[in-house]
Amino acid sequence: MNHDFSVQNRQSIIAIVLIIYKTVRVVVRQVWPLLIIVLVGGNASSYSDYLLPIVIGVSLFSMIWAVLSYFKYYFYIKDDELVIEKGVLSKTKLNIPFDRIQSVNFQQNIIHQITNVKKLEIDTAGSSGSEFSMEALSLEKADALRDLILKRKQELNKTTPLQEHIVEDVLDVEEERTLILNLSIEDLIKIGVSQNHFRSAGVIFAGLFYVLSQLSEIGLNVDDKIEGYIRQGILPGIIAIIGIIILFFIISFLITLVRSVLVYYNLNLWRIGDKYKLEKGLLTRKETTAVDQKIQIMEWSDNPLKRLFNLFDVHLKQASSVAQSKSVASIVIPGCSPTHVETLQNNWLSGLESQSFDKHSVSHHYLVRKLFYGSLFGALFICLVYIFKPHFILAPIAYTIFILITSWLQYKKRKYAVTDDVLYIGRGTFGFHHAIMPLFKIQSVSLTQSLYETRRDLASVNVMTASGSMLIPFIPVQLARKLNDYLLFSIESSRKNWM
Amino acid sequence: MCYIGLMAALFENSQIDIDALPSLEEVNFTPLEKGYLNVRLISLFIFSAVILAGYFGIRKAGSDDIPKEVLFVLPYVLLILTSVLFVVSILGVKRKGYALRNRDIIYKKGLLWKSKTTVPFSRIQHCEVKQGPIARLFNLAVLYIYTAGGSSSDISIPGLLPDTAQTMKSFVLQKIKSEEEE
Repeated sequence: MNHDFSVQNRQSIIAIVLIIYKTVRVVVRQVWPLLIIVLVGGNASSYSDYLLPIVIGVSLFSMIWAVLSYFKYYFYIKDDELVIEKGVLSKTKLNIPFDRIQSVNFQQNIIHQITNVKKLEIDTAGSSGSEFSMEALSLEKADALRDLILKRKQELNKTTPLQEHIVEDVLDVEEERTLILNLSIEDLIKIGVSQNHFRSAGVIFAGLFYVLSQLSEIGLNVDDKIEGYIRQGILPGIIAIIGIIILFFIISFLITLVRSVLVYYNLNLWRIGDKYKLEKGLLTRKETTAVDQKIQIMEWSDNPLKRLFNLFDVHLKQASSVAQSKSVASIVIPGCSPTHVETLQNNWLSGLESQSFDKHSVSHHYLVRKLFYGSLFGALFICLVYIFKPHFILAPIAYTIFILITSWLQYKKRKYAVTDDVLYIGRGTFGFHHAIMPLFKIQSVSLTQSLYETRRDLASVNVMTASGSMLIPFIPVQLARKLNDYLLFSIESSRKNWM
Repeated sequence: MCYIGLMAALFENSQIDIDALPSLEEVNFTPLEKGYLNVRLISLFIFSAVILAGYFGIRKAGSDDIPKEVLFVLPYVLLILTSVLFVVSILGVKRKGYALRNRDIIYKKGLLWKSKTTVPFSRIQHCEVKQGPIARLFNLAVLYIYTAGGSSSDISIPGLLPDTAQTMKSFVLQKIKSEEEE
């Protein structure tokens, strides 16, 4: 089907439903503690008289608002710019030049999926208002619009002499489309099982805490009730606590499992020309693309559980237009086997010397320093424990063992390597964390020396990139200087664009 | 430990001679203007005055909640901390310096924690000259160099004469332009 984007276009009519859904969600998020109080009961009767008219009023208003904003929203293409006109009360007109568009991504939640529409998200370079989105476009229209923008963008690039060689590369392989990774249900379960359950338990705990504080803020005192339950408890305290903790972990385990399956359901990773395209999700289906040029660092990491399954999480860290949205700019691909990691790396770093490198350790003083800071903190901790709970000697002992083990592991896993073209850093405590990047994407280099390092003729090299920094700590000072000079030479002699 | 061996192992694939590369060690750094010490001192005095005011504020406003021991120790702790701050800043000013090379700009600083940060001209996003209220009293300016690497990779060179700062800025801008044209 052919679409004419030069005239004023509207979104799909489904957008009305989605705008209503969004408004309702915002409202519910604001007032849910109140709703709970009304629904749970207690002194609800005094509220319920007002409740019905308020609910009716809000829904009526949001419905009218949605219809109006739908009919007042147009988009069209003019002079290589995407123009969006919108606004019910105050009108706004947005012009987005194609050459400032970084990527066009799609998202589908359950309503989108049922009604065959997509949400379109446009990410632009520039610090102010960097993201635009359209609630709903029919599938063909969304694809057509994206293809048009990307194609025109490439043509524009071609006329800029600076990036000529890059564009040629792109055009050569444009239509080549290979599926790199597809996750089966079995993979999803493996991913769910091997997530960091301590972390998710922490998140759930924090969430629970938030809910409780919200509830107590509006007068429902949960603390007293819980305390009451515990006092009435049949079991002695300690068993009850252990039971609660075990139950808590089982619940958080199940939640992570379900969450992983929902978020990564039917994940597909495609290699299209010089891009990676990632589709994933059951309830909300997301489609994101990452262009090679924009990716700054590739990271892959595991934990003891993931090592059991031989799985890695891969992060493709992109240069972000806005400093705050660093996390948004990173694409996460879970469930990669070592072969997948290798494929991803070879695709991204094709033509660069990245195949074989010797990994080097850092000085043993790194371990000494870690132990020193660990025991400094530990001494403080032990003092406090001794003052307040003199019988609780187990905690300092456990802490000491923990510090010894983690420091040793962190020291053993700190590795670095430099080839003609790439920089590699390895680190980790219980798991491994690897990062690799081409030298020409480095932004700046810093040679640092603490007092301790100076005394022992050591130095650190801190390598800054457009998506975070990489640190090579505690290496001989001569080596650090040479490395600093070499890295700068590589940046300054390279003719490649870092983005 | 054998550095030469390590060096050789690290760069075994290189065709270039590492020792022939321009070295950071040979760079002569230009120190900051003398007046910058005054700027530092005045900002430190203002900082200490705020701390002092805060301390007396605590003493005046009901000190019942705070244990006596804390109130007794607090002035000494504050005194030691501020004097350390003064000594470190005064000595630190001498350690600060900058250098312009053909393809990059270097800024070094640090007394206890030394660092030399190098930003290649081809990675500079933009640069600007600013003058704070205290610096204006001593006719000094700051040159800010911004990269895409975020605040950790940006550098700001304080204690420059406004003219020097402007000259450096236009030099950098012209370098960026000529690198782009190459």
